[in-house]
Amino acid sequence: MELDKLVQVGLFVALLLIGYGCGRYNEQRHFRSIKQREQTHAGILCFSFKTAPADFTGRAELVTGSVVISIDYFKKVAAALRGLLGGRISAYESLLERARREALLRMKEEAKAMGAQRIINVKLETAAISKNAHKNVGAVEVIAYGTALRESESLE
Amino acid sequence: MNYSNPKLPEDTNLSTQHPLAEFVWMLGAVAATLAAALLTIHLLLAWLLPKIDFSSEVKLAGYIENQWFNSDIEKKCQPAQARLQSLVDDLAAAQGLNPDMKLTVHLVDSPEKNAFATLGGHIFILQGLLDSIESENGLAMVLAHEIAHIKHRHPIISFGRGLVSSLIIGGLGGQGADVIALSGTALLLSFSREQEQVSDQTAIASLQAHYGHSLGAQEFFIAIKQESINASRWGDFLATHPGVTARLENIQQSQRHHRGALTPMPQLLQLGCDQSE
Repeated sequence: MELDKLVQVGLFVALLLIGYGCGRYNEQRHFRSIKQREQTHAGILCFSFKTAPADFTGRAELVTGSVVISIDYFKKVAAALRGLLGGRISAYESLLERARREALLRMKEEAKAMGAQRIINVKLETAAISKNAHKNVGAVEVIAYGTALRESESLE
Repeated sequence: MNYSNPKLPEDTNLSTQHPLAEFVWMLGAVAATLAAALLTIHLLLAWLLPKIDFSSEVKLAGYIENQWFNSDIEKKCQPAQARLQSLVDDLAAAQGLNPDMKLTVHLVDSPEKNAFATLGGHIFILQGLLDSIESENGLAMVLAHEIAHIKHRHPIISFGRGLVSSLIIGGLGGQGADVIALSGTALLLSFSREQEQVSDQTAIASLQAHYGHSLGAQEFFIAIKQESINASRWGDFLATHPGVTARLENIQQSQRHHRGALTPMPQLLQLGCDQSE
């Protein structure tokens, strides 16, 4: 009985440590990559306008970028504690920040591949994966989509 | 179109607090609140539960652990048990126990040196304890100590505390409280250090009332202290009865001005369950 509890507590602490160590390492690495690629793709401009400028004569095409990021055990427990106390769930804030920026980057990469320089009508949508399975560690999907404007080739 | 995408500030959406610092803070806040709530419940129960009528406690004891409370005693233990019962009744009178609180002593043929009081005024004395004590005074100290637990309503308080903490732990764990397992713990209740000290004080006073002095009260404590030095398997007992040394000092303090002779152990009790029929 006592040993049982010790194993349970040990498992909990081990999962927390794995979650914290790996989760934080991955997050920091991801943010570094995001910042670097945001600079690389800074030339692709994103707008929320719904219509192309009047003088635009090129092709308009749909571009998307989506990403799914898992939470780790540490974030799960930290969020559960926040659920008791209230306040900003900073563990999830950084997760969603990564997901949003990564989705936008992937969309920009797609636009760049087709030779577009601007994306209009950019929208973001978020979905929680396995949100009904309480025992599972959750994940979040963010999808970014918009209309890429490619200048007519004759103009080049 | 003359428009650009400026670089956005980094920390708008991100917390500057270290995640570990935040985690420790949250854990501390939850733990402190939980501890405060438990302490409140603990104190509330100690105040509330003694208001339960003793006859209700006897009924409650009848529902759980029937095999212990109502089982036929081993025949060879019966004469010694009857002698124990009369000693218990004398001590209860010396302690000023309410005559409506009827005590039932059980002698258990077990080599363990232990005794305990539980719900419904039941007191269990294990044969090993009888063997480790030399005088009737030493035995009377143990008996008076257990009677004091009952007098102060410690069993019902401990039972209620155990029940409530099981419900809370069960509720938090989401598994549902294991109420069936509770009936197992209802027999062997654990008393707090404070409850042990109060019972020791009451027991010493009863010894003075019954024998005119509290000499010999230390016999059992010396026996278990010796055991704990000899073998570590008494670590369990010492964990539930902390501070044997402090309790011994307490007893010796009470004996400073006492003079008197020890009452020898009655023949029946010397043999206990071992007597030939």
